[in-house]
Amino acid sequence: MKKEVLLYLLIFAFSTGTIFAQSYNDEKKKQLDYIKPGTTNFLMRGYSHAGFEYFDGNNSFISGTFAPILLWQQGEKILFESELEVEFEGDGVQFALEYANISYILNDYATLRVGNFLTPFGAFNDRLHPAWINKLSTAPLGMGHDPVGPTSEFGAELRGASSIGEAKMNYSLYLSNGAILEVHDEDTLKPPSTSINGLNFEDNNNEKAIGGRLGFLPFNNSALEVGLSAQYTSDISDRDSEYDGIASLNYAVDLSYVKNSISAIKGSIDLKAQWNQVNIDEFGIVLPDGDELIIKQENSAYYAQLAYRPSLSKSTFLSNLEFIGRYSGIDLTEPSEHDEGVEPVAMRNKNKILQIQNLITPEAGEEEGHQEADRTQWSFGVNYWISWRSAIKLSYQVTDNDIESISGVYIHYALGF
Amino acid sequence: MKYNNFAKIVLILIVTSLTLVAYGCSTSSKLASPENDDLGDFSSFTMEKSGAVLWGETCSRCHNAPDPTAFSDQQWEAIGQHMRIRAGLTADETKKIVTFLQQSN
Repeated sequence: MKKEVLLYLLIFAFSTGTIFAQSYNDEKKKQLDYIKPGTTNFLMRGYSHAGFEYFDGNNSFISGTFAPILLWQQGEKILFESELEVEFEGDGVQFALEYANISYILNDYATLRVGNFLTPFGAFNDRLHPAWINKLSTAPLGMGHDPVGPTSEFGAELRGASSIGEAKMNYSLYLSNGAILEVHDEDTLKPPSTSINGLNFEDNNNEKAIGGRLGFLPFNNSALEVGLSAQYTSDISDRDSEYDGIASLNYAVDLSYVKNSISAIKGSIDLKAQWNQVNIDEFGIVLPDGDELIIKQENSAYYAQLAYRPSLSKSTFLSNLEFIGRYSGIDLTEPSEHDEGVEPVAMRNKNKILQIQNLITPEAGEEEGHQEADRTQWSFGVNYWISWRSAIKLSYQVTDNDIESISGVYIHYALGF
Repeated sequence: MKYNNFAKIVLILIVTSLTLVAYGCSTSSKLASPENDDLGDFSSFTMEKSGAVLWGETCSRCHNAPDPTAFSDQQWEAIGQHMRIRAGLTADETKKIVTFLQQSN
């Protein structure tokens, strides 16, 4: 009898333990199931900056850009990426969709990307423009909000990278709607003006732009990259307009050399350079007085930037500092001799105007127009890196034209997230 | 004016490129030359770089190399895929860098 009771007690004890263990495991499994990653991966990254600026005699605190980058990864092959840009502009807040595209990885060497993507034209626009990556507070002349060259495309792109022995290369080849040549002649009392607009989301004609970039990294440490970019469109005018067959040929060369931890100079150097060239076929605009104005645009922009960071210094403070110098310039087509009153004017209208406007303003003199257009700029900066993706950036900048020099001081806090 | 500036920038780029190519060739030939060791013919031997080395070399082409602890394993997957497409990384580089970051966070 005692043995039977003992046996029952043992069975009860074991079964209770198993039941408790089972319920504990079930609870843990539920918790783990909750955090199990799945095949969909959403991530918000991006960047922001804010600070204080002194420019041409005026000073102001600025609350800069909030630019979230949204990434949806579905499995190992599909990625959606989009960047929004929210910033104060004028009396309100400007909200822009910088790009939105879907990528499908075909194999180790090729990815297909469709939608709206940043133009692989040089390296600055595609890779270096975010506030925490761009080492200075401003973009080089002709590479930021007054771009010479395309900045975004609506199209399809094949891109990828591969090793070639010790060297590497990366490539991009795309077809897109290209740019739009806009002729503004709504007001019959004023002469018409022209601009090149990149927001060609419903193609204005049937001619597509073809373009791409080839990057070559000759050293096995990837320190040097030389890139060649080009874009050609056989017609950028509207299909119903009187202007027809106006072609655009743009090309760019970029160079990057980054070498970390060089013992001889106790630090790292970062050299970047780029040159953009935009050519648009000659075309004529009929002025209100009946004369024809011939416009032919050949514009260029360039920059070279060198940064040094004493990363091998024993002082933590010094190793977090970075010193930057940059020279940049923008050269625009000068008015032809018989086109008095026609002057190229740089636009500062976000990324939407690709290039330069030829505004026809008979009241303004040629000299004044030219000084606004062709410029060179020296920029010097010191950054203090608080972390790998946030820095306090102090810079001094002088912009020269044929008439005057305009200086600016910028103190920005840039953050990547 | 226009062509003077253009000529200047092209000259700077050419001189810089030649200097860098010369420097790069001199350092790589020292490393690759079989005469520099007594261990026989290494002509068929290839040394693969680790994820840690690639992380230091590749990320800094555009920005500071990221802190591995900044993101989770899953997040690094998405970032790796994004950077592969955006910055022109090879598939092999991306895989090694992501693995290194996931093992180091």
